[in-house]
Amino acid sequence: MSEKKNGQVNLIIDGVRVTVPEGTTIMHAAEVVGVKVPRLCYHPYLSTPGACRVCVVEVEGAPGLVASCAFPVAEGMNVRTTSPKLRQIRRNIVELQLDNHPEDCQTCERDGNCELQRLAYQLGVRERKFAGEKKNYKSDYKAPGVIRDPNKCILCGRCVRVCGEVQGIHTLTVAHRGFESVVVPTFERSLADSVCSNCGQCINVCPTAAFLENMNYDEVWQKLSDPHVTKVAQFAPSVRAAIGEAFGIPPGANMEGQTVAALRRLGFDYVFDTQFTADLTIMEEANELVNRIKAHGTSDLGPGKPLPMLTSCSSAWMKFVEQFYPEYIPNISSCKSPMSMQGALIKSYWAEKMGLGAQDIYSIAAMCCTAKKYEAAREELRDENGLPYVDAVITTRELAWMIKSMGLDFANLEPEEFDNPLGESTGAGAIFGATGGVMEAAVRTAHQMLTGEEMPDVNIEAVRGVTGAIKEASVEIAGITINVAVTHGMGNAIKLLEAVRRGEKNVHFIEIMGCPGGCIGGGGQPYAGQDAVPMDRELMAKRASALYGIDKAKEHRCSHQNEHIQKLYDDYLEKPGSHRAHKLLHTHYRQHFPHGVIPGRGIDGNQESCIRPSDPRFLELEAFINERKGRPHEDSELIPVLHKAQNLFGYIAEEAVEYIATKMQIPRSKIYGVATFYHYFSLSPRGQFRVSVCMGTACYVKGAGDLAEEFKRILGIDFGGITADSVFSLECARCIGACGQAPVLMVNDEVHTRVTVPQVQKIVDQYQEQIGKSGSRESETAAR
Amino acid sequence: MSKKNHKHRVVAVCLGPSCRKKGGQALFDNLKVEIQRAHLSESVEVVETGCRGLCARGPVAHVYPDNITYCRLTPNDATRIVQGHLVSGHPMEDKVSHADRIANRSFRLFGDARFFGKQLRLTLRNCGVIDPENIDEYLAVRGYEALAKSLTGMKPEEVIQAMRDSGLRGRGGGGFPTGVKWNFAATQKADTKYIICNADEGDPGAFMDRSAIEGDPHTILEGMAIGGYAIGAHQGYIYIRAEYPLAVKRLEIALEQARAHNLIGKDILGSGFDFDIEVRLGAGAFVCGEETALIHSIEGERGTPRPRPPYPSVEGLWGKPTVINNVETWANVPVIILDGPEWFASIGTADSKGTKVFAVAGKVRNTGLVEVPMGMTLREIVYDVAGGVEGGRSLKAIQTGGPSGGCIPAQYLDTPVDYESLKGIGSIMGSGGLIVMDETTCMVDVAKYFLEFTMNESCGKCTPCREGTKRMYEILERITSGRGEEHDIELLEELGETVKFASLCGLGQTAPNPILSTIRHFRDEYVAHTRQKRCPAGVCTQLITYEINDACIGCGACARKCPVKCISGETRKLHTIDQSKCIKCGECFAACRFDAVTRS
Ligand SMILES: Cc1cc2nc3c(=O)[nH]c(=O)nc-3n(C[C@H](O)[C@H](O)[C@H](O)COP(=O)(O)O)c2cc1C
Ligand code: SF4
Ligand code: SF4
Ligand code: SF4
Ligand code: FES
Ligand code: FES
Repeated sequence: MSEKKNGQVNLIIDGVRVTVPEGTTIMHAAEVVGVKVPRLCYHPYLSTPGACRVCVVEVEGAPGLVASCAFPVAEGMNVRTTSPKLRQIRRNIVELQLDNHPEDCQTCERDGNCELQRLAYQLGVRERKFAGEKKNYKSDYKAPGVIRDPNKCILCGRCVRVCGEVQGIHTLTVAHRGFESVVVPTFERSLADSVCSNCGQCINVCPTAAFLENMNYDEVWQKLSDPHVTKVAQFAPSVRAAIGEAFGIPPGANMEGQTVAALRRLGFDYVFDTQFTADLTIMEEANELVNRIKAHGTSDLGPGKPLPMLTSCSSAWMKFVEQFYPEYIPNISSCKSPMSMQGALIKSYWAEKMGLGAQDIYSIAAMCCTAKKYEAAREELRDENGLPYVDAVITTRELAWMIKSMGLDFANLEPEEFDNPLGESTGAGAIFGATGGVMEAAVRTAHQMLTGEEMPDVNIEAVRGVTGAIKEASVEIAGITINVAVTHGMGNAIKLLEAVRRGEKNVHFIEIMGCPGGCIGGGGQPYAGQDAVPMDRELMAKRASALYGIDKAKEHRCSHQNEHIQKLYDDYLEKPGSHRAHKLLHTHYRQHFPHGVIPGRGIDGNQESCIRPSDPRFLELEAFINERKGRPHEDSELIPVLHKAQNLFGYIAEEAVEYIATKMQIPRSKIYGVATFYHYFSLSPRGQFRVSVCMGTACYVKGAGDLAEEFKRILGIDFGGITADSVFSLECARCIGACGQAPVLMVNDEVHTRVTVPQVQKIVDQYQEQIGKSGSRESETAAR
Repeated sequence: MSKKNHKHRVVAVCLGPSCRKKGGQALFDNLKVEIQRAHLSESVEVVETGCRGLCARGPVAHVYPDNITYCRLTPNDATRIVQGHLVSGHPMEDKVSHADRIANRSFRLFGDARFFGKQLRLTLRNCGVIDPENIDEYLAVRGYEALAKSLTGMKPEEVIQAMRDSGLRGRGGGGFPTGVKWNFAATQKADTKYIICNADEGDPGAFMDRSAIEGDPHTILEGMAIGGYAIGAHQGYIYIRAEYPLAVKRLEIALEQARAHNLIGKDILGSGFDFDIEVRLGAGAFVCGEETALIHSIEGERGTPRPRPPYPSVEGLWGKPTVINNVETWANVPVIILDGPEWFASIGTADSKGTKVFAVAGKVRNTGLVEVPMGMTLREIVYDVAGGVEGGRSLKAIQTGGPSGGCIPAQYLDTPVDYESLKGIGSIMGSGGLIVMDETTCMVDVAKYFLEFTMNESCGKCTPCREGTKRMYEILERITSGRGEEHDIELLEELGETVKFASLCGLGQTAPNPILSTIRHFRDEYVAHTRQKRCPAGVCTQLITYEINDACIGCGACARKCPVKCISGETRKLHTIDQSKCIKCGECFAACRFDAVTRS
């Protein structure tokens, strides 16, 4: 072995010598020698749990196998990534996954696109030796954007990590433990009733179909054969930049013309471009920015202040603000998203032009986004009759399915043009789809609005690119310095908004896109292909390059130069910010519940107002929490606090979780995940007398099992159950350290030792009698 | 503890000026009278000694050869000493003192009563001997002297060297050399470091740590403080099961007292060294005994383990270097410092030094805690220390290491208990659970019991353990209910290997041990269950068959008892059981007074 020097490590992988930087994992080192170790839970942008164990390898001298994704290389290490034993073990692991997974590949939305399926095939799983009981959970189809089917989940944890680590939302947690582990929102409620933003990143990273968009294409098919309505479609910039991937076309191809053609072949009478209303959004938004600056100057900054102004076109981000940052609602531009503007124009301006009523039009949007489904359903975005402007939203994936199911040769379709007047766009409209695009487009037009002159160079490179988390730039317009910031992914948004709140960032205009990379990385985009990684930044960059390519090729690159936009204002809207523009193109936002929790942010008035319980036990809980405030690692007090809550309430009540979440600023999902992990905590009320039979080894060999059976028989309940009159509940305890007197059981805190089966009835009677005596003793005090 | 142990005994009463004045003389006189009255004059002698230097706690008396020193005696105690100690063999625990340096050890060798005879109480030296809620008693038995010695007379490196020289290995199950672990943490450059005492003790059937804490909490605190000094940590945590309220209470009391005496807290004993300890409660998860899971739990997270490296000694609690040791490990630390690593290393075997505490349970006469020198054989523990198998039945197997361990068949009874030997026969030392099983135990049922435990306690993070333990349990359930095939044994072995090698943490890695070791040593029982659908031990109810043999006199007692009325036969003629209807309740077996109903 050669000497280890300047942070380089030498090792052998499958007999090949390789030198890699210190700290590299075996998995990455293996890639250097051309081996892609099979993997499942690993994702390069997320933390590494080392959980699935598919990536195990042999390291000479190590007692077991090691997870290559998590194990760092060491000098002189000798690694084998394949051997008969490894192949068998990997196959067994994947088989174990399959054994607890529905056998419905042929009817599954991800058939052909599923990482589990691919892995099973690749590793040669050809039989099911260990099949047994399978999980059986209810699916959650309630949210308009994202739905869940936990039965398909293989617990890789990527969704939990993306939602927490990347999006900062923490909708999800792994709850319970062992074979009962399941990924759920807090208290296993629907996503619709949670803090979920509908961003769909969980869909993107999930290897299986455990998360999906709430599909609308069936309904669209139905309507397409309805002769009484005029079928109108629009699609987002990013759809054209990515849909090709679903047909095996290399990423980065602009499929605009083919998509228009395909939509017509599907039966749409008119195909309009969301890029047209992207241009319109810029007109309205730039106008709003200019007005805010003119009215208030550029120094009144902060949440609730005129500036910074925040963009409003990302629907996941909007829901996020309403739940997590209500104090920023006044900062948000009142502009609707391009999709909603287009929807409104189709059923007003265009309908009038065509002599159609709103009810005569079926208007759909194909979007890169799952949250757009949520947006389309929003109350605020309906017409005066309460009808939606956009009747259905389908994702890029759904559109691709429709095209495939029709059998169209998508790649070779003759490109077609959009219909007008709502189909013309400038380069500014196209770049909307990539992070930084809205900002760049807005600045181009704001410049013209403030100075009356075109920008000499319209390319603002500083705000482009999918790698930078927070991109900042300053532009001088008419002697005013406008500081802008751009970010993508809600986790980054939190960082930026916190910095603004603390007064650390002197910015005037902020673009926020809910998904990493912007719309091109939306939750509705085609799944990553065979060897690709979901959310891959290189893939995002390629999709973005398709949009910047469109921009570059356009004659007009600024929204205000769009002739149809000019005509729209002349004929119909009058001018940006006009009364009619407001009615059709603007909206408003309001606080939504549950209020989102941002760890470490500190509690604010908005949240304080949500919880004012009168029950004195909450005051005691609060005192307990406050006592721990300011200690180092405050969050670590969660378990002591849960113990306290259980002491106070007898169990971990949902209101208590809500209270703790707010007071301690710990996401509800995390509290739920922790509370359900530990068997000491009960999530449901327990009996006045809690019988726990020790099933520890010493007690078991002395007949504890028979005692348990006797209790079950007498009380008529199973472990975990509670009698109908709430007097007894039965639990199974693990060694309470009284093994010498086995078998042992406890009733509340009273220990009964050397219990025999005939004594069980006596014990039950003894406690039953106590109830008789104390009469109507409050069950709450007894539960203490 | 019987009378036959009275050989020649001497009660030496101190009649130095101080003791004499405080009633020593009266005590001396009373003892003589009591001894005569008990007819012990032949075997017990009362002698007078000079000052023993324990004047503050006089009057003092010492009993030889038990090596028990009593202090704060009153003249009336004479009766108790004679009747309780000398006659019945129960030393008067409340007055025993341990400041006795006769053996020049910080602990006392128990008398020669049989249960204690082969024991060597190091970590439990003070348990049941001092008042655990009174720091003065701990101080009287040289408590906190090791800490003082470390802080004032030793460099941190020297403390670590002493630990290395002692050969002490972790008592929590892994057996990792403690000094080496400390050294890792000590050599890390970090602004903050932590000490953790692992008192999660999740192994069902084990209660060593509970007893150690309840009986002698200060030793743990002292050990931790020494550890903190050695690695440069100023904060320690004790992670203890919520199921141990008394232990928690005693720790809290001990902490308060130690703080009041400036033995814990800022500037300990004026040395400039700060060290404080906080008690954190677990919440019912066996896996939280695993060190990384435990750390997550202290941090307020789900108690799931994470891959190592980095090891806690490099990146532990809140990412800082952390030494985590078991309760028993910590309890050894003051002893090693006080009596020297060489002395400690003289106890035990070549690779396993010192003593080990076992919680002996199951089918033995004396269940309870025993502490024996490493290297003692299983036979000695079971027969000499624990009194042999209950009810005179024969021993079938010994289970050590709880759900992570294996079953050791009777033919290995002469195996010495040390880390390597136990591993060699398919089990582990574990944390100290030792369950004795007799011939009425079904080994497949035992394996199923442990699998049920690990299945329920699996954290669910990694696939092999989450899914694999469930499937292994299902297969065992199949086998014990008569639905198993012989092929299932191979499936168990294959799956067992996968779970063992591929799981993330020790729980999964060891979960198959109870299965693999029982298949290894008791394969015929598995075969009987699968091939002949028979449970040799008669435990698996669904596999039991009740039959009536020729001894039947046709009294009909069985038929009257049978709840499903599946026994038929004319009076005075041989009865028969309809096997297709039999629910295996065993009522007939119990009812027959002529041994005509057989169970197989
Ligand atoms: C599933 C599992 C449970 C464990 N439970 C305990 C325990 O209850 N107490 C303990 O001290 N160590 C336990 N351990 C071992 C710890 O991970 C760790 O090795 C030990 O606390 C280190 O201390 P030691 O070196 O003093 O033994 C457990 C390990 C595993 C894998
Ligand atoms: S849609 Fe987004 S916010 Fe909702 S659960 Fe998935 S990742 Fe989290
Ligand atoms: S839902 Fe999908 S991403 Fe989430 S843990 Fe399950 S398999 Fe993994
Ligand atoms: S082996 Fe079991 S307990 Fe350990 S991490 Fe895996 S699932 Fe969790
Ligand atoms: S990819 Fe390494 S453990 Fe899952
Ligand atoms: S096994 Fe029941 S108290 Fe220990």
